[in-house]
Amino acid sequence: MNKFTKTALLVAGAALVTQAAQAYTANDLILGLRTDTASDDYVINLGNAASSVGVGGSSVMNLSSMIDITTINSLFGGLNGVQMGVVGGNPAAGSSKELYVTSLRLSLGTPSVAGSTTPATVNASPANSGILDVGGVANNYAPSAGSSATPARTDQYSFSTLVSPGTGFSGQFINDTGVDPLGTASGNVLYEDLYQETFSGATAQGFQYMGYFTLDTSGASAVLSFTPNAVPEPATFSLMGGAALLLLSLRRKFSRQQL
Amino acid sequence: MKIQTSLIAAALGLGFVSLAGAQNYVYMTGSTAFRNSVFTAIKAQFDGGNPTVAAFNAKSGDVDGHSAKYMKFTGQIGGVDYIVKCVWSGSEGGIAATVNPGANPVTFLSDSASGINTTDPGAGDLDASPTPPDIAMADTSQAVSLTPTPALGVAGGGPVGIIPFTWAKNAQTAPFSSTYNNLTNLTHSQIRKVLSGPQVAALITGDPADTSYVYAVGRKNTSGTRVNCLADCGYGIKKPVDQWWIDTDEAHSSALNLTEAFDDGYESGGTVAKVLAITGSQSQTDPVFGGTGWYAIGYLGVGDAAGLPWLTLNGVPESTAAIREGQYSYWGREHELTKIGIGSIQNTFANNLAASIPGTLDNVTGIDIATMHAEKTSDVADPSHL
Repeated sequence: MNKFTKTALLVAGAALVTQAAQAYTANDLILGLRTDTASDDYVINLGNAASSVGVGGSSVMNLSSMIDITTINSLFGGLNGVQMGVVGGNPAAGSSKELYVTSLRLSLGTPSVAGSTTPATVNASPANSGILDVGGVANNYAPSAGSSATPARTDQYSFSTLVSPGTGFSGQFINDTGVDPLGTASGNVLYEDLYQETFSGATAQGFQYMGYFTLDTSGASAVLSFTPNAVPEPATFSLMGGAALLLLSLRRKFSRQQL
Repeated sequence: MKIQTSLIAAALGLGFVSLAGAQNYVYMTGSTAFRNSVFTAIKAQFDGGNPTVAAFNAKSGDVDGHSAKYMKFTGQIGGVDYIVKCVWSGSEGGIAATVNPGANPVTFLSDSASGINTTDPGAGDLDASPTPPDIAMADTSQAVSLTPTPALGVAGGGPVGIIPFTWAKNAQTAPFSSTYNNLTNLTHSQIRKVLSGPQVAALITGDPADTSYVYAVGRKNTSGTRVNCLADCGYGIKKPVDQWWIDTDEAHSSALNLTEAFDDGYESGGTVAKVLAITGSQSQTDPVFGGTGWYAIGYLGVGDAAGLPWLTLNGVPESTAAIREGQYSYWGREHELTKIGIGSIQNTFANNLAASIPGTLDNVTGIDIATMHAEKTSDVADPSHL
């Protein structure tokens, strides 16, 4: 074995060890897909809520490269009837604490308006428990942005065990927070609103609607995107375009007068 | 030719002399909680039971080195020179280092290191490079550890003893606050909540006037004490926790400097004990939530917890009798794991050590399995009576 190969193997080994030791990063959003009957879940770490998913931004974020339609079809036979949820947060004590949950978006409407009922406020302590439940899924199966896995549904660190209420014990997200982040797809397109809860000291400030996820499996590949609540609506685009044309016209008129 | 033959004979003779005077080495790592117990058993392997001991990072007042993180035993076993070197950095860390020493290097004391020291070893007190450990002491089986494969050997074929743990609150000086006095017991559900973030003390004490916060102090995920803690209370071994530093300095100064460690923690139970012994938090302003007073609770081996105010668990005080009958549940099964491809000399030492550990346990910091009336059928099982 030459020196380069040895070095390469050592580096690869070190990388594997590093990967195994990685832990959930605060505010990474974990997307889970599951059913009560499929043997495996599908979990994906979408990365940081703001920088990777686009929460707080003003343009639609295409996340399709993170999801695989073949996996969805082989695990669940398609999207219809599949439950999806996106959860995450920052367990830090005090005002840095954040909690993210999704809720099924019942009507598409416009991006600035929620299509679901705002979840009930979750206090600091249960929020922390819920975030660390999500951390348990991430630590074991999707520790870094873009990583994904298909853990057995009955595994003690699966999305089904630590997020969904299936096994009915404490120490899982829905039981700890009282909020159900799962929505069930009827058909091959699913929309889910994303809510963010912030804290002032130890006091929860309630959830705010931040935008919505779209998962569309009607094509040859899955389309996953996040539309922030600040994305301009089509009507707004028209108004903005009209205003721009008006400004351009006035500028030309003004320029001619100068000549 | 005659000269050549003589030279070869002389060289062989020298070689023989060298072999006869060979120095055998055994390298051990793993559990910090069990180090007191294994210290006695290692000494018992040596002729006369009294090797020369060097120790670093020992507790203040420790005159023989039994509490040290770094140990070195020098003497003869069966008339042959042996040096046994130990670095106790946690069960999980020990398993990882024994399975994959390249990624988890352990550097032991040098042959010349000497004395019983409370300080960490200096560069001159350590070997020039890391050595793969031969033996890892672990507070759980490898199967439930963070490094379950490839399977290490199990000296003795199974657990060599019972390792008891306890919860303790951080020390204060009199007069004690009402909240501090009320903080006497923990239930498993309360433990799960404190491990997931600071909790108002009233959750634990039941007194609505106890509005100060209680913080969890604990170990890194290389710790078997932590694995047993998370398994015992049903939290989940591989779920992250929200722990706190009382003092971020592992050299454990006496300052109260409460900061969030999240899933991190202290490397040894000895350090947890030292930071929990820092007094004054009951009158300090809570740096996170404000208000006067904050409190910390921590989990550690009973040997390290000596001198701290212990808490009962589900109403049961830790005791050898309560563990033997299965009333008290926070204890683990100690395993002696051997590296894959261990040398025959080291393997013989490992098996002899495993055979002698039960007889050297003090039945306080380590309990002889033969005296138990209860068992745990797995590392995460509740105790059941035999």
